[in-house]
This record gives sequence, C-alpha cells and structure tokens, in this order.
Amino acid sequence: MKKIEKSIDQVFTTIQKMNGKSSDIKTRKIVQNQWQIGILFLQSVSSDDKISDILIHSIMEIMEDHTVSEKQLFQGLYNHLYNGTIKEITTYQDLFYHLVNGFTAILVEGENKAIVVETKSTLDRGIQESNTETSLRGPKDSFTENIVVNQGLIRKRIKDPNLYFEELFVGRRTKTKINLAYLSDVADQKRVEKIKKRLQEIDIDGILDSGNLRSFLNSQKSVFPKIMSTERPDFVCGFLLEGKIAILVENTPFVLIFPTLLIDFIHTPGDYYQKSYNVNFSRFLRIFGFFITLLVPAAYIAIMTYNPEMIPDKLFISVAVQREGVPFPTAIEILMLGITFELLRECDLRMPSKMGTAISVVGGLVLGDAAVNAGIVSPFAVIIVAITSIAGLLFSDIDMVNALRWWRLIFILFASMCGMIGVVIASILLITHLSTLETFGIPYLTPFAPFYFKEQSDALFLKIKTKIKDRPRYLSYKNKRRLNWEVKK
Amino acid sequence: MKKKLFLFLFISIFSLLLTGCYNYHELENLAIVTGLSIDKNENQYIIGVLIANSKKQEASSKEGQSQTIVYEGKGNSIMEAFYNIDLESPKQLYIGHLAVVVIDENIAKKEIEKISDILIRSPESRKNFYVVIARDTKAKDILKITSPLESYPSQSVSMNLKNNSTYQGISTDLTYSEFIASMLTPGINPTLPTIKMTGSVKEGEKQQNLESTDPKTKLKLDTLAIFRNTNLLGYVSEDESRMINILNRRTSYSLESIQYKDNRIVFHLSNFNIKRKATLKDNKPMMNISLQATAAINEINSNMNLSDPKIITEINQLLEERIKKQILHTIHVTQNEFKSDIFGFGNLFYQKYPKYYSNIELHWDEEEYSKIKMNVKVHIDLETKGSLEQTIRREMYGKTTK
Repeated sequence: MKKIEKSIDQVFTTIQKMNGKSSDIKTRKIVQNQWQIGILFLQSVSSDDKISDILIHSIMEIMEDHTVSEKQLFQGLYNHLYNGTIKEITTYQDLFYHLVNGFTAILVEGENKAIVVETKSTLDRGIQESNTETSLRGPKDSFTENIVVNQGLIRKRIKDPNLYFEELFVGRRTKTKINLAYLSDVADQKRVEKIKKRLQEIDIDGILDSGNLRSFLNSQKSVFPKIMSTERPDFVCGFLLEGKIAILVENTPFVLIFPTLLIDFIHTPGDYYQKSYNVNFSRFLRIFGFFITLLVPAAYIAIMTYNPEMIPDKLFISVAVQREGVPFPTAIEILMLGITFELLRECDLRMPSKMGTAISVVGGLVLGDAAVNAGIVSPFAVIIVAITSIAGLLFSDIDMVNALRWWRLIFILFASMCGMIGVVIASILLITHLSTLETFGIPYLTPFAPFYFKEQSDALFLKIKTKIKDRPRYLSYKNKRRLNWEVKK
Repeated sequence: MKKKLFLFLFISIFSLLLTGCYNYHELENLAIVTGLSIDKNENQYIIGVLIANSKKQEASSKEGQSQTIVYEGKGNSIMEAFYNIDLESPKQLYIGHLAVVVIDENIAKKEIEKISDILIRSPESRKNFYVVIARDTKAKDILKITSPLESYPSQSVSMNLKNNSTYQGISTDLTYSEFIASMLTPGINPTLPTIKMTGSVKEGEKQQNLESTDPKTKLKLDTLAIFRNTNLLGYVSEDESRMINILNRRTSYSLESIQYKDNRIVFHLSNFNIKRKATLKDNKPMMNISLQATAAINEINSNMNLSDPKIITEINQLLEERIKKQILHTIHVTQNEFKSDIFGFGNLFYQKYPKYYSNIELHWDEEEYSKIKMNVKVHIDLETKGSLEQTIRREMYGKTTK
C-alpha cells in the first residue's frame, strides 16, 4: 500500500494518475503565510456548498489564528474543523476510497497523512411510496438506494439495542456495503455466522443489486425462490421481530430476507394489520390461486383429450361445440394462448406505462376477441388461460410467479402426454421437489413437512392474533415469547 | 452430450404432444352420442344414435345452439350396427356421455339380455345413463322428436325422468347399472320407465315443431314396465307405478287423493320411511311392511271445516286406509297378474333365510311369491294445510258460513 507523500503537488499528480485524469477530480491549493494546504475532492459525489461555505471557511479561520504554531497545523485542523465525520488516513487506497464516497481530503505540506472530511452530496431520491408492494393498510414509506437511510428506516421502527447491523463489503470494484440486520437475542446466531461466511467468500468484481447475491446464498437448483426481497421497511421489521435476518445492500431498495419458506409467499406481512377473519379469506384465495394456476390448464387438457367422462354432459357438449373448427390440438392451443399472455406481460414490464393502453388494446381486443372469432382458438381455452394467468399473479413476489409459470408448463406437458395420470405424476414430482428443498437448514415446506402443530395457528390460516403468543419454533429457539396478553372481558 | 440429451427430450416430448397416444381424442373429432335407440326388424338390430354436437351454427358457440342429428345403422349385433354408422359419420362415435337409451318394446319382451352386454362391457360408457322403454312406437322415433325446453331430445328425456321420479314417482330414473344389478340379483325383478309419443314423427323431427307454442308432437312419460327376469310382461297403472316407486324407495315425494263426502282432497306426501321385514313362521313366508310419511294438503275443492280436529283425524285415517289399500292392491297385482317380484321381497328372504330360499329359488316368482302374506302398516302425519288455515270460503267469510 502506497503511503501518502509529503509534497502536496506530488499527491495531486498521483491521484490524477490513478484515476486517469478523470474530469471530476478537483484540487485547490491555499497558500498563506508559510503554510500550504491542499484540498482534494471529487466534484461528482461531493457538495460544493459544503466545501466552500463551511470547510474552506473554517480552514481559513484556523490559518489566520496565530495561536496555532507551525508544527501543530495538522493537529489544529483535525481538532477544529466544523464537521461531524473526520478521519486521519495515511494510504492512497484509503484516500481514494474516501474521495469516491464524497469525502474531501485536506493535505498539509510536509505531512505524510491526510484529513478526510465528509462533504457528501445527496445523490438519492427521497423516501417514496413503494410501487412494487402496495397494501391498503400500513405504512407507505419504502426503502431507497441509500443504505444509511434504509438503516434509519429500520432503526426508527425497532428501538432496541439488540438490533445489530453487521457491516461487510463485497465486490472488488464496486466495494458494495452490505449490512446484516438481525435481533441478536432472537435470531439464530449460527445462521447469522453461516450467512456472513457465505457473503465473505464472494469474490466478484461488482454487486449492483441485492439480486446479485441470491445465487451465492442458495446452493440448490430450483425455480422456487428461497429468498424473499422486499422494499417495505415495515415488512422487514416484521420479519426481524420473527427472528429472521435481513440483508441490506447499498444502492438498492430491495432488502433480502432469510430464511424464506414456501409459506412466506402465501402470507403477506400486511396480513397482520387486518382482522384475521378477513385475512383468512384472502389467504384461502391465495392458496386456491396457487393450485388453480398450476393445475387448471393441465386438467383441462387431460380431461378434454383423455378423460372426457369426468365432466357433466352439458359442459362437455358446450366445450365440444366451441372446439368445432379449431385447427390446433388442445395442448397447442393452450400453450399458444399462454405464451401470448406471457408476451403481453413481458411487454408491460419493459414498456413505459404510457404505452400500457396500447398493449391492452392489442392484447385484449385484437388477440383475444379476434382469435376467437377467427376460429383459431376456442372461447373456453381463452377462459382457462385467463383464469390461470390471473390466479398466477396473486403472488406479489415475482420469483414465485415465474416459478409457478415453469411448473405450469411441466404440468401441461405431462397432461398432454398421459392425461389425468400425467397430472398426478407431475403433482408427485412437484411435491417431491418441494420437499427436497431447504433454506439454511430449514425444510422449505415447514411447518407442513415436518409438521409443527403449534405453528399451524399462522400457517394456512391465521388464528386470532391475541392467541398467537410465541415466535415460530423453527426460526428461533431462544426468546420465544412475543406476546403477554390475557383476554380481558 | 448434454445438448444431445436435451434435444432428444425435446423431440420426444413434442412428438408425443403432436401425435396421438393411447386413448387420446381431440374433441372436434368426436361425435358425442347422447341418445341411443335400439329397435329390431325380423332378424337385424336397428340402432339410432343421437349426436349432440353435429354442427356449429355460424359463429355462435353456445350450447343451446348445438344441433342434433340421428344416424341409423343395422347389424346382426349392436356393435355391428355401430360399425355401420361409423361409415356414415365423419367423426368417431363416443358413448361416454350417453344420457338415455331407448329400447323397443318388442326387444324388451323377448331378449333384453342380448343387447345389454355391449353397454356394460364398453369401458367408454359411464353406466349412469337412463334406460327407457318406447311404448307403441319405434324407439328411434323417440330420439328424433325435438324438444322445446331442452337443447336436445335425450337431455329432455333424462331431465323429465329425473324430475318425475323425484317429485311424483310415476316414472323412475333407473340408471343402467342399477337396472343390470336388479336383473342379476336373486329375488329382484327390474322395472323400467316407459315413454310415449303423441302426434306424428314427421311433424316432431322438424325444427318447426319447436317454433310453435303448441308443438304438435310431444314426448310423454308413461307408467312402469314390469319384468320377470329379462322379459317384459306388461305395464301397470299410474297409481300402481306410484306405489311401486314408493315401496322401492325410488321417490322422495308423491301425491295421493281421497274422496271425503263431497270433497276431493289431494295430499302431497313426503319424508317416506319404509321398513320391509321378512319373517318365516312354520315355513310360511310373511312380509311386514310399514310405511311412515308426512302429508300436506295440496288442494281441497269444497267447503269443510278444517279446524275441527275430528275432521282432520278422520281425513288422516281415510288417507292411511287409502294408501294401505293401494299398497295391498299393487302387491296383489304383481303377485297374481304378473307373478313377478319387483319389490325384491325374495332378496330379503334370500338374505335372512338362505336355506329356505335356495329350495324354492327356481320357482320363486311363478309360485312362491304369490303365497307371501302381507302385513302392511301405514302411518301418516298430516302436518300442514299449506298457506291456508281453512278452505277458501271459510277464510273469506268467517267460520259461520256453511
């Protein structure tokens, strides 16, 4: 590690050489009396106002102060500068790191060290409402790209000294700051260590989003998501209180939650803000939607092409009359419609929202209606695909939606090959697959397999909230009790 | 290697998807048979199949608009006749959704077991379709009659059977598997519903028949047909049909009327509880039959005092006697006129006294059945009088009027 030289000019040239004379490196030399002071900062990440109004102003004051002796200038600056964050550094590596983080370096001729002072400019948007996870009730704020703000949003909610933020850096070039947040007296310490070790092992040039970390934290091959990401601070706090661990990554509003199980995708943290009776209905819909989106197209193909005896006469004849003249086999018809829907969805994601109307006109009117009228697809198949797709979008987590899309395809393939038996085979495959998964030692299907009786109070359905007093046992063994409450009459 | 494996899987999956596999049918290649008729000339069977999804009308795809077509085929056996139709029909005949099978009277009289096999042997058929005997007309003609309230004829027949069987009990919705079971179970003889046609076939098969508010040709359910083993013996009357269905627990509701002085009173019967017990004393068979039911007054066409408990008890007694008489009469008819145990009393003896039954099994219907003594108990609870407490005249002018 190269040490900082004594000469200001030499430091200036070295820094400029290091960065290929980038245009945003600004230097200034102040000469007064016998003293020479160099100021060095990156214009792109620092606030000009802070530097000129406060920093240079206070430097001038100190230099004019004749009580400061010649040799004490460095110490005097260090003690008297008007700033909260001030550090003394000696190497170029440190110097550059602080410069890109919006610090200003103050060099004194003849000293081989530098003072860095925080003069960061705010490059972040403010705290806004989340537009990926909305709920009718509950706080509206969401995380931003600034990790300190994100920490603050969590701290604001949990004012407990046991809330730890463990910091580490990943990425050779991006030096991305990562924070592990957990409640030290609730979360499983072994799990924290394990995650920390995994993160430290990552040797990659850059981490741009928390999504980059996913594949490093998950060793099993599966389309099902085992890490949930959210941009709602209240959701994260809810998980932390349960005993889970959150990973905050610099420059992204999405916070990862560990460990995540299948059941967490059926629940939404917003459930706990409402009456449990009403929540149970929407949970039922979500579970129902899970099965509809997986099974309906497959069951349709299986019944219509292999086992038509299974449905009532009137329905059967109605479908048969509708299929009259459709040139494609049922399976192809469903696949075609399904792919059309996915195309529309992909378009909608990529296009700016102003184009949305055009897409829905083309998708809904032209493709749907015209395809039926032209006799390319039967109206019943359109209904099937529509129901399937709508049910698939019930889940707020995009990874879950995409995972179900893959498995829907597998179900369709099996159904088109061997009918109802194929659907059964695919179901067995799915259950087998799900039960082989685990996240950080917890089986993915917990609390159903393995079955925990006590945890059923908040599994498929939510019991009255005053009756759920303990944390889920599979998440944390220590500090189990959450609620002390006797029903008062 | 991996690429090859992937390619292999890809091709195999799509080849399976595109070509047919075992039992694979596309719907548009199926001719959905919902009705089947079986007739016979001198030596050949003539079958008619009613196909429900024959033609798509313009762009409409509603079920109500499906048109029907009847194909006819001849053959020495039912299956051969089916093959014959396959030559005419562009689509493959599919009998999975068969709703009604209409059988000609003459076949039922002699050889119903000869035509029963194919429908139960075929793995495609669901065995829960209804069997009905065409009376005084060709079975095929029944299929042809367009029906005003349902989209296709077989649907109309099956709905009619189901409703009548539940709410009145003159006809019965015996499914094919039940029919075969009662044919094969020792000590029970089957009964089958019958159907008639009023008007001419030529009128009935036309679409104009539907457009008229008073269609010239209609289908009408008729009374039960009585079988002994596999042969049709004859038909019973409406009252007898009703009693047979009540005693066989095949109806949930029924009607009964009595004459009380000048008044005609119609009752609606429900909540039947029928107990049938076989006893054998000194080798003399006896049946204890007890019938409990609730009655409600449906209609009175005169002016009597309904709030008088005496009159109510009297009416109740009359109704009980009437029903008891009906039961005894109906059993008597089957014992002596038809000599056919359609109630399954023989089966009760077979279960309880197998030794006794095995001795007389062969001539149970012809001889032993008529020797059974009947001990009938009827208990009716007259519960409500409907929406009126009194007769209409008394409600309007007070109780003093006579």
